[in-house]
Amino acid sequence: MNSNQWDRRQFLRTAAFSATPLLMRGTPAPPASPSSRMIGLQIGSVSFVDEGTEQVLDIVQQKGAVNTLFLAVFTYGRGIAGRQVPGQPLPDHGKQEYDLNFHGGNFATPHPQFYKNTILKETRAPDHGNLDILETVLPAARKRGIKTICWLEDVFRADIPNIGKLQEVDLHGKNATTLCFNNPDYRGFLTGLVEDYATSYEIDGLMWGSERQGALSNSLGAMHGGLHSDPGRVTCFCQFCQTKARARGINVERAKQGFLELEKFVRAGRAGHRPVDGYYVTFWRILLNYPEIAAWEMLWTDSLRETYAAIYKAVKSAKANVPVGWHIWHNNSFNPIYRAEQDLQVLSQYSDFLKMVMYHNCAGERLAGYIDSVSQTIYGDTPKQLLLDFEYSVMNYKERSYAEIPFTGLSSDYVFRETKRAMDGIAGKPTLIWPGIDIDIPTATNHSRCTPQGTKDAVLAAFHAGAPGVILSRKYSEMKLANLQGAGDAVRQLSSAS
Amino acid sequence: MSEIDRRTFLTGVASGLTGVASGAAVLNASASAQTPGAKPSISSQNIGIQIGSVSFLDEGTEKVIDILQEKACVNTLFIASFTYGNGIASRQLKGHPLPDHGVQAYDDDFHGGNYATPHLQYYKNTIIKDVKAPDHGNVDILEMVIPVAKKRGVKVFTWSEDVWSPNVPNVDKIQEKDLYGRNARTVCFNNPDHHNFLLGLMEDFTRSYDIDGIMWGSERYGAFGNMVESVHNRNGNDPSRVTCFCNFCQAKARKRGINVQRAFDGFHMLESWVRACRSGQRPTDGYYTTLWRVLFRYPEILAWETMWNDSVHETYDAIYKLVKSIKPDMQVGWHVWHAHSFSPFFRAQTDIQELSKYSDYLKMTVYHNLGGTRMETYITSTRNTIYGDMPIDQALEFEYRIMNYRERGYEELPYTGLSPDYVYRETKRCVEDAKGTKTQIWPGIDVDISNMDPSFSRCTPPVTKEVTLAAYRGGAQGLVISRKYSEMKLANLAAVGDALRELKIA
Repeated sequence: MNSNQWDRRQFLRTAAFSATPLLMRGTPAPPASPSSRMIGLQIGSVSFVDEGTEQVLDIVQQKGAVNTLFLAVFTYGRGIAGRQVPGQPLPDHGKQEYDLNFHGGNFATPHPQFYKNTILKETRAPDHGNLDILETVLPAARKRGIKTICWLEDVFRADIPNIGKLQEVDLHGKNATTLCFNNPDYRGFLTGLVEDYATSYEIDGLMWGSERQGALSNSLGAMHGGLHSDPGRVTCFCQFCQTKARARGINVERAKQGFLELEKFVRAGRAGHRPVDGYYVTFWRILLNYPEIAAWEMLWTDSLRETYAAIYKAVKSAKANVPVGWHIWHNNSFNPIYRAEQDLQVLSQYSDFLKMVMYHNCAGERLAGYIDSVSQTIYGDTPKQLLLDFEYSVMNYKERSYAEIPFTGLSSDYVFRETKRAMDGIAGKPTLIWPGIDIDIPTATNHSRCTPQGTKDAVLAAFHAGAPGVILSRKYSEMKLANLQGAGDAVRQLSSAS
Repeated sequence: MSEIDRRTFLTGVASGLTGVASGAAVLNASASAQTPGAKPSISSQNIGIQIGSVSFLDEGTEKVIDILQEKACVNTLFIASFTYGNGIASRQLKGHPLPDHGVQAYDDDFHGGNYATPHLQYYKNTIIKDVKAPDHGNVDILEMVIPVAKKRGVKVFTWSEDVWSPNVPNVDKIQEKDLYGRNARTVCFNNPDHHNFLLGLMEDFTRSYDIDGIMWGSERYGAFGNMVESVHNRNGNDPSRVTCFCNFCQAKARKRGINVQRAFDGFHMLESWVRACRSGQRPTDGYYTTLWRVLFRYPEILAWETMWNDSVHETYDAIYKLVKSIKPDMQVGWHVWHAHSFSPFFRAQTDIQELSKYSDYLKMTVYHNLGGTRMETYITSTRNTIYGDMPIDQALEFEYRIMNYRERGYEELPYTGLSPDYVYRETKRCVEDAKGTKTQIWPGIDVDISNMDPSFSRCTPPVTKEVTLAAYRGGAQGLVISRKYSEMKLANLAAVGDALRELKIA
């Protein structure tokens, strides 16, 4: 590692906490010193192509005080790559038009020797011709002392050659658009991909993220946007998963029966048919009758964790000093079941850092969306406001009312509390917590929007709670410069105060 | 089975009371219904009362049945025939006011057991043989009461419960084992000697006596429920004493595909969680979330809970089949523990559609007055576990929503009890649950249940009447006046009768 790369010894110093019992942690982290703070920014290749590498680096350094790029190098999703999402206002920089022909894939150069253990080989992103974004950005960034972390996500499209053989299989045996972590070709692809990045480029780290959860939570629609989830399309029930389940002692047929019962429960709830014994009780009846549902949920979660471990190992084998970490989905703030599955002490075994998503502004409509969904399933007995109050209590933050939050977003106190919780949760481990900060993540028309002050407050809250870094999210191409400046102002304020 | 003569019963029904608007009016109506010499009315519906042998002995069989018929229109006696508990047998509990009938003394030497006569041929397949209750010498309560009751057209059900004394010979061999292998006071449904004892007992009752039905009840649930909550213990139960982990249960678990070692590991982790939570250590990720974390890590906890519950239901099924094979007309049903009104987990396990396969009726406990302190106790027991994340009032509000009734605030509950609306809602729910099955719902209503702090709320005639009316408004197809005659005040008993007469049910 050169001088621009992280000094892990320094990180370990900031993370030297006393050991605490597995479930009860609470020792807060000492605050990071201003000089060691990681100020990351997620950015896609199109921004460099549209605005010029040097100009973009100038802007993000000057306005956002950014010292680390999280460069979207692999994704088929336009949440972290591409220009602004069509239909959303274009920001005050970059090309003033939408990239309606966005495709996605690997924005660097796939080197075939790393993809021998997978049938998934043709993933080169065609969006920018032969441009290799890592080759383009790495030297320019390094020259300025800016680090570059590869940022990859678990989002694929349906027309990639051979993708059908890697896709998950739903409850009724149909292919899903998502890929299965237990499919050797997907595992082989992911480990090959990260090995390629770590070996072929002088990167400063790697972050991968999967914004998905298991069949139980998906069936219940326990996530923002879950109102429209289909309990019959939950995953994964492919042969690889079934084999793995049997090896774990799970009765596959009973698991399927259980999920079919759950599907009926959810469909009835969504149709407004209240169970005689109530939603919550009936859900528990199904779970108690079919504990295999919980076992299957954990099978899925463990498979994701094993993927983390495999990626971690692959990168470390290629370059031991390249930090590896994970983007943890925003659902961590909404769904207690998903949060239960994000045991930071377990994740720390293969995580140098964790980007914990706590997007304060879009969280308002997302939380309301979560409430909308689960108020028809597991929590169908409770009016939405009462359910939101319950949610605030179990998730340990308190914000505005159900009617207000889509129009106000959540406050910086939410960011503070979620950061502190994560810091407490990782206590005793060297893993770094980097809160993901919302800068202009699109929301519905008329819903709340980010402001410079709100952004500044969110960043300050993260640092006040002890975070050693932040990641400005989701992508530079959707951020207004004034809001980016708000984040930078917070960093500068903290630096000048110290 | 003796058929009830409907023509006889319908005589006297014509004078049903209507339009009772005040407490005073209720009391007046009660008085009129108690006029000496008035002809008792008997309903086609089952109007039952739970009663222990001591009441017949203390007050006289004829006299007791007179009172029950005249005041409360009772047509069915649920005689506490087998129990080692003084909740359904014996006189009033010590420390509580004696009612206005019966011997005015506490029976400190209560023992319990089988209040009829155990006929040895039915107990060949069990080591539990010596269970004759010594409380009343050689009295066989069934032999004594049945002829008198029959003569009056009153049915007799045996009422047995899953409450044992540690002094019963050989009981240690059928007791449950806790998480650390220690014997519990409770007995195991998967223990063949217990199972065979229960079957022998029910066969004995069925073959040896001209009874009309049986009722058996078990007020328990599995290790998960007992760890995280309690209906009877404000501070929760000792999480190391949960059951059952005996060899029979372990063998059954293996047969069901449960990894026994992982189940043990899971319960140990849950025990650690409960102890830490109760000692005031808030989990970083919250109580509710970390409970889920434990359950996901060890789904075997849920599997074990369901196995325990299934074992009770298998016991129901076995008793039902046995009794029906001997006397198909006998009515066989179960006392369903009050926890179905408080614990979402117990309610989840009390699937009436499933129970209906082996239940002619279900006595669904809806004790309104006792319900207040029980709800307060239940929610208090969860304040440091499931609902540890929130103020207790919020937990109670959530509880009311998921259980679908709405009552008083946390502080008030013990002093007010639950309302007739609770009885209405719970009855209605159970009746709807049983829809399309043969199973009848007979709510168990609270008349002076005493096992609570004497300073808490008390039953009154107006509310008792309202509760009875509420049960029928909810669709009840019968009634079981609970818990035992020996703790009931006659005015409250009469209030039940007033309601029944008003409804023209009696």
